[in-house]
Amino acid sequence: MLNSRLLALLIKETTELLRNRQLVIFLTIAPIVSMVIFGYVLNSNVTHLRLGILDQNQVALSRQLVDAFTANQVFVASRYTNDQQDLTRQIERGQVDAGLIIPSTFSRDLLQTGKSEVAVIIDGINAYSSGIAKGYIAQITTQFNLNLVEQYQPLSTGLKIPIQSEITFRYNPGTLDSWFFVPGVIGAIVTLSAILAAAVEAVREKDQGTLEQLLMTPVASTAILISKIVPISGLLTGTLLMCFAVAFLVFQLPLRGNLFLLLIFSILYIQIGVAIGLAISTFSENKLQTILIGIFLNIPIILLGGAVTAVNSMPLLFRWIAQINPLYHYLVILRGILLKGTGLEVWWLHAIAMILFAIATLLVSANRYRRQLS
Amino acid sequence: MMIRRIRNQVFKELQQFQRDRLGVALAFILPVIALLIIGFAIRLEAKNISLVVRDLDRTTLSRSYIERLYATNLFVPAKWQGMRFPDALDRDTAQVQITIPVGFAADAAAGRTGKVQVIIDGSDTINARVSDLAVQGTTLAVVQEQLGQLSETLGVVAQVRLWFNPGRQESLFIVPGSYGVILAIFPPLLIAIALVREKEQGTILQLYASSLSAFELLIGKSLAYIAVGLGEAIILFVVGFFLFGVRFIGDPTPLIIGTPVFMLAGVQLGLIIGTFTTTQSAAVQAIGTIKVLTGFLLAGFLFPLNSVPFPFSIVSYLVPVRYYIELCRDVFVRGSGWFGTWELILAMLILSIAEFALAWWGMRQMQLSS
Repeated sequence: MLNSRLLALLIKETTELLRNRQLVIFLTIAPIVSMVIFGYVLNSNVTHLRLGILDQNQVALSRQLVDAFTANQVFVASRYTNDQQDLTRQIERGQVDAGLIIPSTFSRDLLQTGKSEVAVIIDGINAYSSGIAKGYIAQITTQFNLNLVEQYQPLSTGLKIPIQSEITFRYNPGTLDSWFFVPGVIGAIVTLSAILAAAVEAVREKDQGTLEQLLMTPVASTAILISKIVPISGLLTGTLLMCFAVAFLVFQLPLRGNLFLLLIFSILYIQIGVAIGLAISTFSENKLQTILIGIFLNIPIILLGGAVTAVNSMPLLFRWIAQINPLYHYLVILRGILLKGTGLEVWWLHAIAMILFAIATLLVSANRYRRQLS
Repeated sequence: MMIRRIRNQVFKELQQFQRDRLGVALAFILPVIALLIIGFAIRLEAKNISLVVRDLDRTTLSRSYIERLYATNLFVPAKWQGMRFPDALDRDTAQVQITIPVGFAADAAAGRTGKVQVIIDGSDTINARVSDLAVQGTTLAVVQEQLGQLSETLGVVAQVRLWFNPGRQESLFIVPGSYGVILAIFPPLLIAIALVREKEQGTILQLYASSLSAFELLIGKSLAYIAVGLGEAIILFVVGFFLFGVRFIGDPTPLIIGTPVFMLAGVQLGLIIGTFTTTQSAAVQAIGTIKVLTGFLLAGFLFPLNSVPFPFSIVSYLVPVRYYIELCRDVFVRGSGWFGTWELILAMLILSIAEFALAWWGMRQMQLSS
């Protein structure tokens, strides 16, 4: 008896959800499109910095230095000037990202005294890329100097590079940015979709007043709750599977761990998102408030959960706060399974945290929802 | 006549907005909370990458190498220095493992090349890149030191100067950018909700029946929510000044002109979404996907847009937030005045006019169909 009522309710909710064509489209096509775009666009590599060049020396040696700067795509020669003020102005107006000034005494100093100075001005607005650029410049000049030594003192005391660092990048040998960002974007999309869809769908019935009609029928409040959660979770699971398909087919992400565990914890995370959405809908009085809170909550969850920047880089306080962020735990597990091939023996603490989250959020939202019904 | 009708529409819209007290409070408080979270928490570069060192050589050279590595101020020793499987990288307790093999110093002294083995966790590409540069920089510094003893020094020294933000404070980069991201989300969201609510409750039909034209309706609604958005912007700038010390450098007029233009673009997008979606749930998903994701990820908020590959780089030019973030960084950090910013404002203006035309067309279609 109860089962047939539950079934009827489930069918009703599912057809209602599917009838909202625009929502279905936004939960299926939009995530795929945004995943493809963001997978390609998100790029933490610092390349193609526009370099303004002021070469007052104009000899072979100074041109060699310019070539060394622009050789590997970190800098591209954007403008040549012959006036220092002109270069300064270009940097001030943001027309170039960096300026290289080679003084007229450059080659003479270098060949006579063995030392010479050039000036590099970097637009420091972006603290991250200017730091990287500074590192590259140190490499470029050192490499340039080593080449010079070989060129001008070939017979000096058996010059050999004394030490070398052999660097390998584990898990991501090509340091492909997409391998870091795509799992993050999947997490962000699932969070955003689950919370918003659940919150807005749950509050809709309250707004339209059909909830009262539902209450007059002899179904238990638990059945109403289940019939709300299951269809939306099903739809979101479909979204998630498509996201994974894009990740594997378009971005060639590896799957080094257990596919079964990946699916289990992904579905668990969807449950957490849906439960949070439901809870929001019970705490707010109307749709505007639901939506504002729902959109707002996504900002800290996504930004502090490590979707786009690593949690390790955050100040200590926020590394602690991340512990109460379900997305943080999900992303550790997701990146662990996909990239590192690790299993429960490594991230079992995060797994327990996720299970606790799922139980807690479901209990709270079920409780609030039931109280609202009675 | 037309001006009066538009004015009345603005007043009506604001009246309706301020009737929901909690909603108003949320509309002004949530952006500030978002600013606090972003400003305090988001850091691109780690200052404390955990490092596992295994020095098997134990010589002066190997020790000075390790000392130099820590002197970059980038690394901290990992808590657990063990090497067994699953090792520190798998466990996420360290991000870099360095092994200096036996014979490192002997090789270097004998004219062979002593090798340091470095394994970097590549799953976090940002910090992998930073660590890579730091390790290579350390190695090169040691190489130069060693060579300096062997041969006469011959070398170019680059005097690197960082302008505008010499201390590389990340907040100076993140906070002005976050103004753009936050202001791109909230005003469009509010106007889209208002429009769809009117559609769901059927009150929009009354508007269609009135003498108000689609043009006046859109202008009236836009102006009302631009006003709300400007209020949000002022609050953000004040909080940013007091908490993060972000202040005007030079001429503030580009921002004073540019902010309403940016609001216009944002609010138009809200209107477009509001006209083309029929349910609030769809409208919210649309704003959520387009605004939250593009704002954070596609507008150069975190990473420079120079490296974006070709067909996708076009997309970023269509995002008004991109220009506004640049404008904010210019006014609050660089201070180049109108010379460096007029193109940004012009671009936003063109985009918002195009969006307004689309919203107007959509509204006329809707009026005809209902």
